[in-house]
Amino acid sequence: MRTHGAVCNQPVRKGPSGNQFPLSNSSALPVGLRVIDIQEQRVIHAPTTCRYVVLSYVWGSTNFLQLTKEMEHQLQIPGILRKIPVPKTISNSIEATGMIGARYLWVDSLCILQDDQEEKVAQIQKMDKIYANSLLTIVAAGGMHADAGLWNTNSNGVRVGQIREEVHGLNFISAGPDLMKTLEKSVWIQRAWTYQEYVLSRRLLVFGEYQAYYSCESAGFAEDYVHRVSSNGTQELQAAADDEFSTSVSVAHQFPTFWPSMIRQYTNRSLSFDSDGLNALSGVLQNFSQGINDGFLCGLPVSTLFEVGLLWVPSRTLRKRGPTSVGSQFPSWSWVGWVGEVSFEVGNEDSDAILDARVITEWSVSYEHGILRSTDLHFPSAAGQLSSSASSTIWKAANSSLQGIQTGYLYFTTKSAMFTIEESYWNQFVTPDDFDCKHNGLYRILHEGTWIGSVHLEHSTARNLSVGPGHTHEFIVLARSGGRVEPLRIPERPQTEESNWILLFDEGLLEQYQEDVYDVMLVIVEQDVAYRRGIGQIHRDSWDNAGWQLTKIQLG
Amino acid sequence: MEQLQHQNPLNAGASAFHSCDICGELIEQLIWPSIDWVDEERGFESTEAINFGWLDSIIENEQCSLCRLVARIFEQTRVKDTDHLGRIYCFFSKTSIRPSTTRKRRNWSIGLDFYYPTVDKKMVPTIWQPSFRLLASDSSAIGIDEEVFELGQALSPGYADAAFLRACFDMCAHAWSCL
Repeated sequence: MRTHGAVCNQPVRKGPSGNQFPLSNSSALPVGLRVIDIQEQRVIHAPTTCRYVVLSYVWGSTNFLQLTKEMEHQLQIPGILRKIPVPKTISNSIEATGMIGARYLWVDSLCILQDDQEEKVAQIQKMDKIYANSLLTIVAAGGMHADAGLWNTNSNGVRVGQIREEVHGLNFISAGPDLMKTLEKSVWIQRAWTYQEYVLSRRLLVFGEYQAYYSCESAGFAEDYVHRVSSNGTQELQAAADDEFSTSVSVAHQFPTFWPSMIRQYTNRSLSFDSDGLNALSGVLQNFSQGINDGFLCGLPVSTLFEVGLLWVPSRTLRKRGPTSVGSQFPSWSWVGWVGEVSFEVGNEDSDAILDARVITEWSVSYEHGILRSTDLHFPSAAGQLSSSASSTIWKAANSSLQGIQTGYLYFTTKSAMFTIEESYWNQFVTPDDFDCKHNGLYRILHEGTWIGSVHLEHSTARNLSVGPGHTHEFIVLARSGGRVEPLRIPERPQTEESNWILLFDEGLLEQYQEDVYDVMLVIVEQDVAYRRGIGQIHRDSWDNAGWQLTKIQLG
Repeated sequence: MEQLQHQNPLNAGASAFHSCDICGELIEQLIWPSIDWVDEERGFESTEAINFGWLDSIIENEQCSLCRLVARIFEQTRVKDTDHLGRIYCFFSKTSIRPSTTRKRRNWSIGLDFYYPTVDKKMVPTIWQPSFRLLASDSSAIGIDEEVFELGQALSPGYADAAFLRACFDMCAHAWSCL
């Protein structure tokens, strides 16, 4: 068998510009880390040099053993985990950890004090380090709750599923699903928390309904698969990523390199508690920050907040997210303020183009513990690599100040104007099979009877806004598009490969430069606070001739 | 070989037949595959699909182990509660292989294609790609002195195979010395 060596021990992730950054930028264990010592069968504070395995699983709705202040002392007693009922998935994971020769296992429910909010918050913010520094992640992909167990056996303890027949002296077996198929149909992959556990893992040991799989940076393995048998009978289990006949390659190749893809994938998953909207992604955001040389504010990139970040649109019907754990409302301007899948239709992340698009140069955010100003956040560039230790220091300081901000009001000054909007015209272009026309659509923006732009709205939102003649709605400018920046464009038929696009304003305006538009937000204002309702684009000259005014915006 | 060419279901309708008498010869076809085309640049050859016949006939041949294997795989992978569009036809899929110097198959993952023989040959939906593999321990029985690929391993009867887990982990993590 070949040794993968440093590739798997020090994995890297790819950034959007092809740059690479380490999965973990520090091998130091997170402060306060607890682990299960599987030899002593108890929960301990992690030794300094401990190498541990982590478990990623679905909690489900069942009550099970958890670390609480009351239980803390008891769970530290040697041998205790043999004496009290431990959920089957966790006890199986303790066995699996022993099988690979490791001694320590980290399981969130037993290694974080569940009734200590301060510790929970602190540990959640270290989730990237906890996963990235682990030896491997055990994934319980076959179960729907913590007591389901890792391996799927019948009542006699025998695994079921594999079919075997002898045909003319040759033995054949049925092949199980490959790893990606196993993950795709699991409950595990539908859960939001498991997203970062998946993306941040160094190696995966996946237990599916059918069999176990192992996936690292450079290869994939399945229990029922032998990749090669040499002429002397030596077996090779792995299917390497670059092998022509690989059927089970590393899932690391599935990880997104572009943060909008990450947000789309994450928002398609579900959470038990609305308040975890950002918590369950905080580790990935920390990690991605390195790749794009940027920080995230409420889940949106700071250096391109107005030019890209705020321009998300819903893919499905959204609902307002419930409050944070301390009762604050998540902001309407971020995807985290809503529950449901969103996507970003602006496709150009080039840093120079972003500067061309910039309209709002100064802004601030007020949050629970103070105010941050854009001038305080000196990120070196939108997409470049860190070029010096000095810029790295600046970035780390700025990024650090963003950690933990989950809510806040954005303050900025921009152009605003009132326009009428007309009911959706998207439906006349799409067939009922198209994925989201039932819930969302493009609505025409009108000024003095001329169609000057379009706004992407959920139909339910449009109904509440009283769309139609006699009603005007406030739009604010976020950025400008044109030149090298792709304008916001909604594909006519999203499921096809052809790039057919819908015209976003009257064809007569095309005589002027067609991509010369403003990216705008439709807002409603309640008690001087503006709230996001939709994103669109308006022909720039038409806007400039429409009687706009400069307005101080407080966006909540 | 001619007798192995089952009638095209699009033309033959319900009169197409399947007989397990031919399964021995189908195995021969698997071992010595007919080549459809050659990718000289990559060094691959693409096998022709092998006509296996009507699924209901295959299911009825319970005494034939190859028929039984295919029928059980279909049952395992088919999407339950799907509407049937009538009878189902089965082929061993085309595959890319690198044959041995004696023209024997060296890639032993055999896909199965199930479809409704409608005009557009609608595929029967499956939970995962139905396929079967030769057991790795039987690879020497093919009688070639070369590398053989894409083989199967019997799952250990109890829970996870500790040897498998340890082998995978040791392969890429043995540089870590503080376990």
